[in-house]
Amino acid sequence: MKILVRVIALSMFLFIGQSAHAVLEIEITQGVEGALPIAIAVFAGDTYSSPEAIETIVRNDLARSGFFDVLDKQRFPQAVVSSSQLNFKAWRDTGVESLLLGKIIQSGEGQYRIEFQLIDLIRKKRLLGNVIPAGTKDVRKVGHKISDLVFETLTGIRGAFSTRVAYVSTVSQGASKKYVLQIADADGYNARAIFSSSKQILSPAWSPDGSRLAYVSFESGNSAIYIQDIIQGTRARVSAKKGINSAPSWSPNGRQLALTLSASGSPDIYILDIAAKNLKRLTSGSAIDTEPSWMPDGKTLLFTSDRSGGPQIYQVSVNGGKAQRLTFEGKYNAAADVSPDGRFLALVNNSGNGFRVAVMDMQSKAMRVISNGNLDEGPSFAPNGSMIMYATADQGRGVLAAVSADGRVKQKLRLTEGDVREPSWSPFR
Amino acid sequence: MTKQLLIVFFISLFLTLGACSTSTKQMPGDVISDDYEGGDPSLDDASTTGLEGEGGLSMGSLDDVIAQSGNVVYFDYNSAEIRDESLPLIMAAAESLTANPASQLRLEGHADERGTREFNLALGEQRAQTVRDLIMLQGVSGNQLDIVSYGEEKPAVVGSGEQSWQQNRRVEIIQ
Repeated sequence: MKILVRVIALSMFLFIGQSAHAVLEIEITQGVEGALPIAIAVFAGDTYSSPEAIETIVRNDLARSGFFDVLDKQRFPQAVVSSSQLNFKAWRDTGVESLLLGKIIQSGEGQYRIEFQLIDLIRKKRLLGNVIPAGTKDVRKVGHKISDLVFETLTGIRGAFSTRVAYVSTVSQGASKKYVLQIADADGYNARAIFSSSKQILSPAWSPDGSRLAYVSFESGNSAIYIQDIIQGTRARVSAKKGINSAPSWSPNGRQLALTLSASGSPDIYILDIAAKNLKRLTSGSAIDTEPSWMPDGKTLLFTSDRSGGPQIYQVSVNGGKAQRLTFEGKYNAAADVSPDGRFLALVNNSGNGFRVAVMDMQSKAMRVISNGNLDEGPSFAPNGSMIMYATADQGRGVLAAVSADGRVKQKLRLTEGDVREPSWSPFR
Repeated sequence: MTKQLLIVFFISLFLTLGACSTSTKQMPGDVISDDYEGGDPSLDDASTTGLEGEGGLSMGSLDDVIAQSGNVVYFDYNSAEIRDESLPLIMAAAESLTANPASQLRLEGHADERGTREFNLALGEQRAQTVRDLIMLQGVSGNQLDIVSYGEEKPAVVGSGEQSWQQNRRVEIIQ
């Protein structure tokens, strides 16, 4: 399925300007055998040179995806050159098959032209080329755009580098805690708070059009579900019944929320029509039924139930009826997130070695564990299905990690203060 | 503990065999109404008998019980089952609510950090419900009990390992 692009060499001219102060730091914690090496080279040119910016952004994006690997600068066969001076054989001898060249030219005060071209070293052909104008504040956006274009050209899969992640962070303030619902770029930069509270926040979920977040807040003294418009900042409370109101999950058409309510006596799955404000009950019984997740065709829902003794994943029609059990491996399977194409589930599994993220093939039911913590949770698929974000612990602190869907490359995104949890990967913009 | 309970039970049963009303002449087996607390002792309700200071279940007020041993009910992993040692607190809570029908208690349910947050929200609620159900079995109205679950979100002790986890699997009884 993956196109085996051997190596891509990235050659980008380094850009000036302040590097955005990243609240989430990225480090690659696990390398990959058979990955696609990337080289990043400084391109000699007539413009500024300084660390950070486009070269680093693209390098991190492509490496984090699990499809690429970066060629060490020390192994560059030549100093960065223009495309006309390329020694194709020398580059190919390092194992590189593709080369990304770039140049940044200042065109005015705080204004730049970012030129790039992707070269197939074997066929000696240019695969991609463009010029993108950008102001200083657009640099990261342009970098991610270039990553998307390179990724799609070489893998055939739409790039997800221009997407965002929502998550909850908690910070201790003396004896009390502050909970903040934040949105950041998918690489952790440009984090901004969208809701802040002295009470607990849980389960953020993006609407399919990326304009709203549903989440659980304890601000009223009990769990309740809110929907917040990210641009306007306005919010509405959509469920505040007696008992639990939680686990909101948007339908593919964005008009309904599946959620968990325990007003009937035990937690069950309901579907809320957001505009009409009416509820449809999907499950009943004294078991715990929670964590609904929609299949992309909008016809069935997955959810967690302990009706067989311990938490397992079930599937039920949106019209209710008998639920079908999907997971049989391990004593604990919960928090299922469906891949965008509906072929896979990411979920939390415990088969005796702690709580880990696993991916299950919906067809074959084969399950593969892809994380290696003890308390991993909250898996969320990227909108192109190639990666999964999840929450894990690192040295006693909550952090997010991104892992390629096959589990081969992991990268931790570390918050510099407090705990981070509950990631939700945005849809494509 | 159990043996003392049985003794208390049988003595209370013995005392109720006679009539509840006062009698002018004390006969063996007659109820000694001055000592008898009243009410209708049932098999489960050994704590309402009038044998002060006999040990076994505490007969103190809820405040006394809380002052002595705290206001928290603890649970085993993945379980909502009430342990024996939690009974004095729960019974004292039931008594307090029965004595003051206008009063209320809030039961806050919690879970340790293992497992998913949403599932733990449900588990915390299950624990609070089990405590509530036991209190209501004593004849308390459901209106006097309020339930909130915080799942794993409000640990009593931050940290991993059983030392911390066992303190977080709990229901707090809040007045």
